[in-house]
Amino acid sequence: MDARMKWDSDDMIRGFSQEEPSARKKVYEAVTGLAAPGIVPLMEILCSSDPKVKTLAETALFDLCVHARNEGDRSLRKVLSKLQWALRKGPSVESRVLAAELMGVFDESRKGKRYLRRSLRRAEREQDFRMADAARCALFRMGEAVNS
Amino acid sequence: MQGRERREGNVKRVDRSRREFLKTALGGAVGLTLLSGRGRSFSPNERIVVGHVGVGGMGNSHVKWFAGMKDVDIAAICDVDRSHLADTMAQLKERRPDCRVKGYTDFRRLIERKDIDVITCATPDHWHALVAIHAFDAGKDVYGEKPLSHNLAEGQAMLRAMEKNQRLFQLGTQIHAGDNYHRVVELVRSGALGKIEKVTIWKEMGPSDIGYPVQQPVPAGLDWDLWLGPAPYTEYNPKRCHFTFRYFLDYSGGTYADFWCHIADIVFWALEPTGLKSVEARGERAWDSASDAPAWLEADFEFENLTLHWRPSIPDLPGAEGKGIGACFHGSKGSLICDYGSRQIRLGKEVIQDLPDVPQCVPRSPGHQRNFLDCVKNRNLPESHLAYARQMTLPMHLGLVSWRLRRKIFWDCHQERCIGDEMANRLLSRPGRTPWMLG
Repeated sequence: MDARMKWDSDDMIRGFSQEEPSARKKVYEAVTGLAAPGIVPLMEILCSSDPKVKTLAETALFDLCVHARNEGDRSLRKVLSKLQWALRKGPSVESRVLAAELMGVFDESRKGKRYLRRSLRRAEREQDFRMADAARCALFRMGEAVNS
Repeated sequence: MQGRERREGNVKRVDRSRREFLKTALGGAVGLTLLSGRGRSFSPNERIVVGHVGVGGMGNSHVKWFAGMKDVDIAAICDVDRSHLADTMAQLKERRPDCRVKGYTDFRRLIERKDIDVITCATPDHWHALVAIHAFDAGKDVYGEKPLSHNLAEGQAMLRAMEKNQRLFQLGTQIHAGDNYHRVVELVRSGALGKIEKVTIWKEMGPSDIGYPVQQPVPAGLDWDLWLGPAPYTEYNPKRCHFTFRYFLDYSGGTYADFWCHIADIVFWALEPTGLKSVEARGERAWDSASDAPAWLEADFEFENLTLHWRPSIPDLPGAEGKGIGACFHGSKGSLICDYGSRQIRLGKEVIQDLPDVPQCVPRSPGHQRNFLDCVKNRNLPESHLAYARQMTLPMHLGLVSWRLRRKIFWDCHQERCIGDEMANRLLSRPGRTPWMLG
């Protein structure tokens, strides 16, 4: 399993839905090593109906960010840029909620605050309570208390 | 007692620095007179009115224990699951037909009752802090299950609320009251083992066995939104709920968080480790289930005066065989291995259970719940009070953060912040879902 190979969401679904736990583990480790190129396909499979795929996609996103951060600033910056995309245009509520959470934890430069504020305003306007809570929590982590 | 004593009205107060307070607290000393605060004061023969929050698992033991106390009236029981509530109410009616008990599904309604003096809390971990803080603010003392809180910041908030309201808290580490732990403390403190600079603690961690359950409709009678409370919203899944919640980081921290307090207790009691400097954890999530908590985790904690090692399996140490949970104190003259109910001392080639020359100097407990109720009346510090419980639980939380970030964490024990690691600092807390944010 090569972290440099190109992965799309179908590859990840196939890898994560394998029966053998050790095979899933190998795919998981490769995916979390992908850094920024792994974000979009992982966001796309968050709503999978297969609980194995859904669970692994959720935790892989966090671990991918950890991996990128431990690799260095450059790698993390690229990941954060993809998370900003997910926050604005993520394919589902799940993906946007998770992007907010990850930015809250990993955006050391706090550049994502602008995107989070915008997401919060939009979520409140559209009465998307789940997204509003996620954005509020992320902003809180970044040191900004937001009234609900 | 150190510090300057002064009188405020009819209560005795002692001025001490926080450092002095913790020093005494960690020593497990008793005798500190607290303000009676907003709660009522008791004469020794008066009855204490108790309300129980969370009765799905351990909460039933709370009800049983407190119902067995002659000076306790149980006035209220609360659970977000009506089936749990009905079962426990029925059991209590059998045990104590005299109790006029009312059921609630929202703990806030129970806590707002002015006639209740004491709350016990056996909810899932992610509710421990909020229930306790609500209770403190309402002038009630709390007997709360372990672990103390879901995350480190919640423990800090609990302590602030308790001190502000001058309330009492006892952590439900029942083993603390047992004779074996008392004797281990005496033996370790006696110096018979020489200088102790290293302790290994362990708990066998096995698979969660929860598989990959699919989401389901919320069962009738369960208030799923209230069950989730401060945790992120998710659709109902039976494995995320009762009993197996602890395998999900949104609510707990797996077997590691579940058992830490039980065995770390003996180390913190006997040695009072101070000046935590760093934490480094390694581990793995489960590959055969939806659990995201560590399936296994090992961690090394460096204190000023001690290194503490947590292991997820029985270590290869003489005397550890067959002990699924335990602690080994490594001294310069010998070692002591113990679990909840047994101990073994090794001095050279000699293997013994006790050292008769070491005097019995730690006062024995009248029982963990009895001790708490006595303290509610006399306002002394309970055996496992909050300041002590928080110091003991804090390294556990840092172990989880280090595991999640896959790196060593350096800790400033005075500021209670990770040094040069903003991400780690952000994981010390978890902002709650509206309206359940900590103040």
